Amino acid sequence: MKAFAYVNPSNESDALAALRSGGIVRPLGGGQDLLARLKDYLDEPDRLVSVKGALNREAAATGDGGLRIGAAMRLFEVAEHPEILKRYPALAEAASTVGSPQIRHQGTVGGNLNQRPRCWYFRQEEFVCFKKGGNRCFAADGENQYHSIFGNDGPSKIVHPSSLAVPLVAYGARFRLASASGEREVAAADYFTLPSMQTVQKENVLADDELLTHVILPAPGNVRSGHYEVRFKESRDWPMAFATVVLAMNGPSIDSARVVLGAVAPVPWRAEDAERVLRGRLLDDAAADVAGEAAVRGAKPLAQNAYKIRITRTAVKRAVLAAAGRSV
Amino acid sequence: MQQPTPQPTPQPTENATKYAWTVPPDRTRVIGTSVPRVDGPDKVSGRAKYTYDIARPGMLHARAVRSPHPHARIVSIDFSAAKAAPGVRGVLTWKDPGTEVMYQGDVVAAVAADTEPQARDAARLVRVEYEVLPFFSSEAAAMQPDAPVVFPNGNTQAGQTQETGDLAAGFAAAAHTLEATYSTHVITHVCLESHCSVCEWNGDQLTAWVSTQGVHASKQQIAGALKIDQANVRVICQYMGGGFGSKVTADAPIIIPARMSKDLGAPVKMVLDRKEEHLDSGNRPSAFARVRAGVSADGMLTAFDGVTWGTGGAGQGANFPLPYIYQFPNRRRAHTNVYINTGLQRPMRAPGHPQGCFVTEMLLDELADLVGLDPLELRLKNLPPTAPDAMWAEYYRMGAKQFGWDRRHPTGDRNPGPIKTGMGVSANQWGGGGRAGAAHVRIQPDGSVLVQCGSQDLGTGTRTLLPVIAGETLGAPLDAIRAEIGDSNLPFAGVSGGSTATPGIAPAIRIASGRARDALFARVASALDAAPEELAAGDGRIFVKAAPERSLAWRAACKLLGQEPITADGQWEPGFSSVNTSGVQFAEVTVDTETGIVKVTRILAIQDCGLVLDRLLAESQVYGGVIGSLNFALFEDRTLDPRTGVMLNPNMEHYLLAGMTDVPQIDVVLMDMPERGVIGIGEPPTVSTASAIANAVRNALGVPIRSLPLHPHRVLAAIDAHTNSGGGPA
Amino acid sequence: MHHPDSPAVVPGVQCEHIRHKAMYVMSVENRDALRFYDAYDSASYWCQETSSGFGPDGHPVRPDCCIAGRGCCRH
Repeated sequence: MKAFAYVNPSNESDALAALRSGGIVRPLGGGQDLLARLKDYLDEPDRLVSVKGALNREAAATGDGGLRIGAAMRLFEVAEHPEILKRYPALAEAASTVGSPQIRHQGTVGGNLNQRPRCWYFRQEEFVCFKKGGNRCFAADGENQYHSIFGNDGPSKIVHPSSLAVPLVAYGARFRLASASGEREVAAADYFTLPSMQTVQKENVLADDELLTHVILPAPGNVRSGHYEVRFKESRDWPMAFATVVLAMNGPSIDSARVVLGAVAPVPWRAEDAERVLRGRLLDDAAADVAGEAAVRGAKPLAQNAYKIRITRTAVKRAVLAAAGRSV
Repeated sequence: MQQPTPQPTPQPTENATKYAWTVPPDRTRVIGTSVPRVDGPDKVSGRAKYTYDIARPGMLHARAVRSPHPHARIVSIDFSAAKAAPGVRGVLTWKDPGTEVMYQGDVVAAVAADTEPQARDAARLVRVEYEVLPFFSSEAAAMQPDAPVVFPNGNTQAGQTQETGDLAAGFAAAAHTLEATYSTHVITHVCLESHCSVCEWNGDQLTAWVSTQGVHASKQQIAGALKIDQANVRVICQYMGGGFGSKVTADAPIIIPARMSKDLGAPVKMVLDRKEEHLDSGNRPSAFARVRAGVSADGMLTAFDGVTWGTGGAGQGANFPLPYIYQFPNRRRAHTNVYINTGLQRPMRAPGHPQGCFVTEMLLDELADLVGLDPLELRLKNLPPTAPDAMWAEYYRMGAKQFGWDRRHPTGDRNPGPIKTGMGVSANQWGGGGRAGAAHVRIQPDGSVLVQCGSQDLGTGTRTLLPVIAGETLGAPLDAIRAEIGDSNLPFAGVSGGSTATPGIAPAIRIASGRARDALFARVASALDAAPEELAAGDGRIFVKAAPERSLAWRAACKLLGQEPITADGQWEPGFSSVNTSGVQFAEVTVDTETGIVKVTRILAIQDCGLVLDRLLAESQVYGGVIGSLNFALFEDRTLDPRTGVMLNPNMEHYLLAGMTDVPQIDVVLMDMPERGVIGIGEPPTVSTASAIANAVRNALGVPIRSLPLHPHRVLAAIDAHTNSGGGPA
Repeated sequence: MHHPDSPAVVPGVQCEHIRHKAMYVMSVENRDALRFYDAYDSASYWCQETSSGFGPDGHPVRPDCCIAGRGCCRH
């Protein structure tokens, strides 16, 4: 592993200054992804800036009835936080199934959102793919059973690995990004980027000298939400496909819907067809079925992942049923 | 080297009567009870030092340079940059330029440095120039008629066809015939403790701490490889994190540090990382079987015609027993080994049996449906004759009752809803006869007891067997007995493999303990006004058999020894252990037809193992075997990139292994047969779980299941294939 | 027919450097197994000289090829 300098600032501005100290600098949260990348020689930074002590770890109410979550909050804290459990249950649920208890105690909100892909070509040193400055995506015509079925027209066929990103997009969250020059807010839905030849080495709009410092959730309003992960192993594994649905209710019927899919595209994937068909419907079994069907319309499977269409349909259907308070 | 095994069992000796496991009217007091592992607290508290934990003064760390290519010729090796790297003390060429590397991970060279990270970094600086050569990343590629010559002695090797009975007559007698192809995949051993060693020289004496299944076997191999006297090598393995068959060979992770330690004059440690472990520490070969089989209208198996093949990697075989257990009077079998450019197979817990079991047990369920018989009934009709080592019929009937087999629905769960349930069964068989172990017992005048045996604990709890057997025999309290194992300076024992360790050493410990006890009786008899042969030992006392109230507490009796301890040796003799076990397993699953996800809900394992020495340890063997086989059925799958031959999941992330929440309720029934003596059960429990699970999935779905692993996408594909072929629920 | 699972390594035929696990496993004959299935060889082999599955000539170690005529074979 390449030797690196280690900086452990105690506040946000020191951390942001350290990011501009020259060379390749990476912010270090819980380290569950970054340290493994260093050990596997996939990343060779000159400097690590620990942000666990510099960034906020609390969840606090905002003036307009929303919630502001510090990026250093641990995943187990998200899963157990009473306000999150009550008002954003899909987010708590997504946090509760990440990895293992150890990973959830070490891993942070910021780290979960900014982790790099788990593609097995990307993770093996032998494959110099687009994301590592190479000239091909090995998954495109390789072993792509775990790869994308949406948004895969671009150069890279990865799926985005974050579990929290999907409910955050569904709840309409915004991210606060800060650098030594200032700060900005970006909608979660706009934060993650589909790969193009220009952007393929990153998965989001965060600049090298920026930190994602807070997640800002709007007041949920009169919504029901549901979350379903298709998981083979029950722990220490990645969901094969998952969905969060957030339904704005008008009595027994659905006023509007957000349906977001995970582990199917290089970004959290808005299933707009499913959102459309849910609008104005009663929240019932039929709604779950039509939403599932609509959600996978337009999917473009690769050679070995057509099965993901079916499990994605299942995830959406069951997430809608969960929103209705029903289990499979 | 002489072909040493297997040996026929000689006739029982006088000692077999004298020290028989149970001699009426004695009852067993320790043997057969549940004695917790004596080293359990050390293991869970971290006090137990594994080879991985060994640190010696001035120790260096070695790291291998490995081929990134599946097949290449080494053109040149340039160590100059590596030698100049921080902390580097030495380099070693393992394969000379001009020779070939045959798989990704094949060792080319090594470097040794002050720290492990320095060695890792320096190994990457060794510049190896390769001429890349053609390779095979699949059995199918190697079997193409126009495939390039990758293995000069043949890319494939066909074995002799075996034929018994009259195949044509067998098929003529069949009311139904079935043709199908079954397959199982390659998995790796995934020992929690990877292969590792620490080697240290003192003059011409080598001490090697090795994570090994055989301290004596490693000693012999290391001496052979280094061309030094076996008496000058001492191998130590106090604790090890699993081997599963992969830790018998003294290979690069032992020989490299041994050589570098000699060259550099410092202890050298070498520990493989998880990726190296997957690539170059053995695997279970794949198995393919194209089968045609016949069954009569009343459910008698009539004919079996199998063409089989599989790969054990770059030049190793992949044969397996087939058909497994059940009797096909007319059968033919032709097997071909296929060589591809991957790491080499090594024995893996019941070598060959899980593959042969899968093919046969899956076939049987399909034949049962053709005849319209319950699959258990079909099995009962076609088992070999019942014998003490062939008790499947009894176990099947017993298990069916306990498991609730009468609640099994016919093939295809017709309940509405996406979640289907199913049940399956499967049988296993194994040898499990050991020999040749030796033991030493010493009774100290203060009442403490030392028991020594040069076996090693693969994780099965071997160390605990020493106080269990010695305590039973001597009547000494268990906490007075100190057990020493895992050192080649201790009395000889064979490898912990083939389920032979316990039956190989238990008789020796029994005899040594019996002799020590008799010597003690001789020296304390006068104090009890009795003749030595009138004495007995048990529950911490030495007493007169006819008048148990005339007794001495253990320590009081030993005090009578004065300053002269008792020592006794024992050697394996026939009459205390035997060979051959049988067992059956039942599985219940749920299958989610909308996701393809299989969950195992219950396993029942019925297993005989002769005399149960320690019930906890024996049950633990079965739990471990069942979980390993569940992993084979559902999770593990070595995946190669077909274009490059590079393994895609050399980790514990995409190479799936069950977590605690993926392990179902497992009920273990041990069938006691004390009259048969000790029989090992390391392997048989891992043979049949996978087939029972797969047949349960077939029962749930009503679609053919003919290959493993049962990953969700493969389960969905099996459902689709059946639907597209026009099949409804079978 | 040789015994199931019992590799066919015969002194004087195969090279003295060929090794397999059963040489180090002290087992008693499992004669009854012939009732349950036919002969097969599931063993893996290695070379004492190279401590690997390939001989000094770089070719795989197996009973069928570690015999007289192979340059590195020793008796």
